[in-house]
Amino acid sequence: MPTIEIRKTDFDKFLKPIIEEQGRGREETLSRIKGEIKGEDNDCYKIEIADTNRPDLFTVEGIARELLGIFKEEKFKDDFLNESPKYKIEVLESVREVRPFVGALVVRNLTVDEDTLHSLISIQEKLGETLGKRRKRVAIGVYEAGSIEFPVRYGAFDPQSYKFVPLEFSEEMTLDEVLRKHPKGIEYGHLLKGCQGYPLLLDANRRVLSLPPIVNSREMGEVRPGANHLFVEATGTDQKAVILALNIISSALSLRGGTIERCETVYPYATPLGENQVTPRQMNKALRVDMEELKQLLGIDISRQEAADCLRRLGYEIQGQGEKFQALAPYYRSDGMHEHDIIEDIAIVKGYENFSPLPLSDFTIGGLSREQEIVDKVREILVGMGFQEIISNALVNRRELSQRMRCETEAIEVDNVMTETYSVLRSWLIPCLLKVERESSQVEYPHKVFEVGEVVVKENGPREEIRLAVLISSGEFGFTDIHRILESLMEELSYPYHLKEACHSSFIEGRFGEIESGHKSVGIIGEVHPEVLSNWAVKMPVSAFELRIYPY
Amino acid sequence: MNGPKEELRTVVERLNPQTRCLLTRMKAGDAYLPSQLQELLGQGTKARAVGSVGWLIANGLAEETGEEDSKRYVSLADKGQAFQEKGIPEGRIVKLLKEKDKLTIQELGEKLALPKEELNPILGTMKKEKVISFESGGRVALGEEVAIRKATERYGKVNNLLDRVKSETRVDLHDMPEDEEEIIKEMSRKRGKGKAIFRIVRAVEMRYKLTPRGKEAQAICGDIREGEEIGSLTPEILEKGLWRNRTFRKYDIGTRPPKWTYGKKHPYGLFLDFVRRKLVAMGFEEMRGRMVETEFWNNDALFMPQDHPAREIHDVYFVKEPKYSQELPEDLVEKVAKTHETGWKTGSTGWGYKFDKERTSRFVLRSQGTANSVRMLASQPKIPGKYFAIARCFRYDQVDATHASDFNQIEGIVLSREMNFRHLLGLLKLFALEIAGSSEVRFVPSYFPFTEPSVEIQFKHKELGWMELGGAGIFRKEVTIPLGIEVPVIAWGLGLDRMAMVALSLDDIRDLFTSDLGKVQEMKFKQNI
Repeated sequence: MPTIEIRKTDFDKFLKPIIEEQGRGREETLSRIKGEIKGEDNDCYKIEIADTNRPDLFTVEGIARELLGIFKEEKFKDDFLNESPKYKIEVLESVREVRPFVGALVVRNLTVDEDTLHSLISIQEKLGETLGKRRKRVAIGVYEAGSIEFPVRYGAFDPQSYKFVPLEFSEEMTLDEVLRKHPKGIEYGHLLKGCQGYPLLLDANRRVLSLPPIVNSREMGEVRPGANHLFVEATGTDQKAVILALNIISSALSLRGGTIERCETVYPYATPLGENQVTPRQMNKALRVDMEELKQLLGIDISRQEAADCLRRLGYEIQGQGEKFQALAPYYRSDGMHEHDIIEDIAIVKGYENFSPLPLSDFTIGGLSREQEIVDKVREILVGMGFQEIISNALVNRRELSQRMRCETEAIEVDNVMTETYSVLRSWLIPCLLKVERESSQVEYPHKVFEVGEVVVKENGPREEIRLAVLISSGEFGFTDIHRILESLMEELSYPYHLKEACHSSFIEGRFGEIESGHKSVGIIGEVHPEVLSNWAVKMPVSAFELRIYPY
Repeated sequence: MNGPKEELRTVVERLNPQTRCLLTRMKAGDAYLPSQLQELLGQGTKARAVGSVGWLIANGLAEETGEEDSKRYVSLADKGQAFQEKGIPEGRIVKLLKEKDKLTIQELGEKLALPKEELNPILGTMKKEKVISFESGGRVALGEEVAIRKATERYGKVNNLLDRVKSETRVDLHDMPEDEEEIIKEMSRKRGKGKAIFRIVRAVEMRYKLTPRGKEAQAICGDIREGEEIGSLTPEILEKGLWRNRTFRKYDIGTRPPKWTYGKKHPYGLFLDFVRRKLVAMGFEEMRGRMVETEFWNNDALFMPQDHPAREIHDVYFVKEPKYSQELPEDLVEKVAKTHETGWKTGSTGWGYKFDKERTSRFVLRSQGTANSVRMLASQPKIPGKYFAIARCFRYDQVDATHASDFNQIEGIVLSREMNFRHLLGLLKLFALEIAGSSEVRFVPSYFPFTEPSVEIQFKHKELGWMELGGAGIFRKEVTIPLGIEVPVIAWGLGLDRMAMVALSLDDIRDLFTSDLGKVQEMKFKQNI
């Protein structure tokens, strides 16, 4: 889940007044936007937003806008969406195969102070990471607009063709060098791997603004406190995501007091949304809401008026009269896919605490699964014989199943291993019980332990079984004792079996057998080989059996 | 019980025969060492004699005199243990030099398996005693004949002592001839700290004597006829009726015995059993799934877009081999793919991307129990119906006190023709009451990719404050319609590991699956959390 950092000074300015006025406390107020404070340091709060589809809430301004709407019915100006574009970006054919989409906006009358700068950087980073899929799909750049000559050009160029000084550096570098030397080049350079040309944003005087999605030019693209005229662009591989990023930023900066001016992007090629695009812009289509469905899903009686009112608080535009109406989500959101999404929004605005719970009225008969009934029966029998039940991790170390057991065992391995300790699914249980022996030498002997659980056998594909493993360990127990336990268990389960002589390198030869039922092998039994015990650093003799109990 | 005489009589009657025997044989006024007590009894070990006198002391019949007797014992120090088998290095050096004539220090070190810092001081002493001499090229040769003979004799004695002390483990220093005592004293301090061969231990022994009350008790002992009382009741006594007209020795039943060994179910297993029982009582039927799942059932059928962050390589464990399943129901995959792409017949716009059919058959380790619920939806569930599963799930997470590599998720579904958001809240409230034992709950908006509306329920724990109990919602139409389900379906999941830890008094989640038998045996499940 995305976690955003909000400066405490910003929090106090934008959110505290609403929270205090509500008198519900921080936690409950923030729950309306599915947010939760997860921590804080000297300067910032860390807020986790549960809804991954609401990048518009990944900013302090977005959270404030939402809460002000829900609690105070505040409306926010978005007239700029209807204004004609004042700036132009010309796209060159060369960038089509590299990173085909771009869009931009200009902000005036917003004086950048420390808080604004922090918020701006935080939006840029967080959107690039989440909505932008770590800058692959979208990356965002912010510049002081004053020094830029329009129209801006966006194209792909030879890695050696241009030189510029990137942010945080003082010497000029070729595009190639930026990728190799700059920390952001090292981090994000893979996104341009194999491209003939690298994308560049140039102003009308052919000065480099940035090398997207890597880094801005220091001269043209460093924003300092005090600036009050900004140019914001987004580039990427997904046109809708590029525009959404700009929409979210325009909404946030507008709430902070900036005046948004639109930019037109002129493509030499067709795009999913047509040739020329003006950003920011509304992309959503209205969704139909049926009052019948709404009442049925929420279980309440609610008027069309109230439903529409709830939605308007969230910035929806309501179209049409009657019991079936159209709801158009605000331009900074893109999470609405189904009528139910809109119905949930209504429930959230009303407040979950205002829904009285109802008991389920259907009669159903409960019951355990067949598997669990067998498992429970086996557990009862073993506990009656004085055994301690063990529950182990299902993810184990590969070595524990094979080398330590002095045998080769096929098992389902994890591809993206994090640590060897949890790298393979257990394919048998006896190793789990030997691990218990390894860690329990301080416990008085004899040890009598068992585990019932799932293992996954690798045969063509993964095959899951429920097994029982039983282990006894002391100076006195041996094959006869473990066999007696098996004998009693099978008698109690009415499970006919016989032992077949066989060999298994984990066990002592001549003291090992396969447990057969009918003509199928259903388990193994024996005295564990001393070398295996030594591999596990177990100093007491061990006998064990393992039996498939489901399917059987 | 009336009067001190009767009280004392009861005490005496409860003594076991050996202790009573000791009581009768101790002379008033004499102070005894443990070894002397052992002699008095004429049988058993010193430890048992001390045990018996302990009973007497506990009943105020004997006491420690305060006269200590200190003794010095010899035992093997670490080096002594190491040298005991092959003899001390000095002797072996002489032997090696007799065989090989001359050896370098390095060769000696290798043959003796001794590090330089141990070997050098030994050679230094031997040179001082003229047993060896150093020659050019760093070689060592034997020294003067007389010195060698004297030294070898002493080495032999040391080796003999090593054997003797080893076999007796503790030898009284006073019992040794003077020359041996001399050697031991020398060998117990020489060679620096940690390098001594013997260790001299000073042990303090107490003396014991009867108290005046003990003397009185002796007199009572005379009244009790030995052999008339029954100790353990045996089959023979029963068979022959020997118990008739005899009394039973009275036991001190207040003494705490060692624990009886027993087996039990794992307390975490008991916790899960408890939850299972509760769910069954609420009318839920148990379902099973599999730990190795396909992305289809784990994510796609749940309408999680294929580029969803929770599906990335840093969140889910992927299976190395085989990578893809061959067993997916094609028509279902087709419907789910269309739903992702355009919404299909679900009334949704869909995600609007190109669905990857290879990706959907990719094997992963089940990351959420909801996989079992969608499998159930796809296999003709009962309507109305309630289902649950306790499923082992896996997340790509750094393992620590609050994160486990694998853990149990408890989740399920409710299908009904007439069901709405308020029933969902009602169900969650019932869970809080039945499972967490709390009637104080609150609901907050939540997000799951597969439910809308979604809610989280929190309950108030009497000590820990508000705790999360679980999340739930009504399955999206994009989930249910492709699986052929037309009625509303509640999906719920309970995050019970935290509750389990409270119920088991654990503060590290890894202890739920501990391999430490001691910990498992101590763990207890307290139902009233």
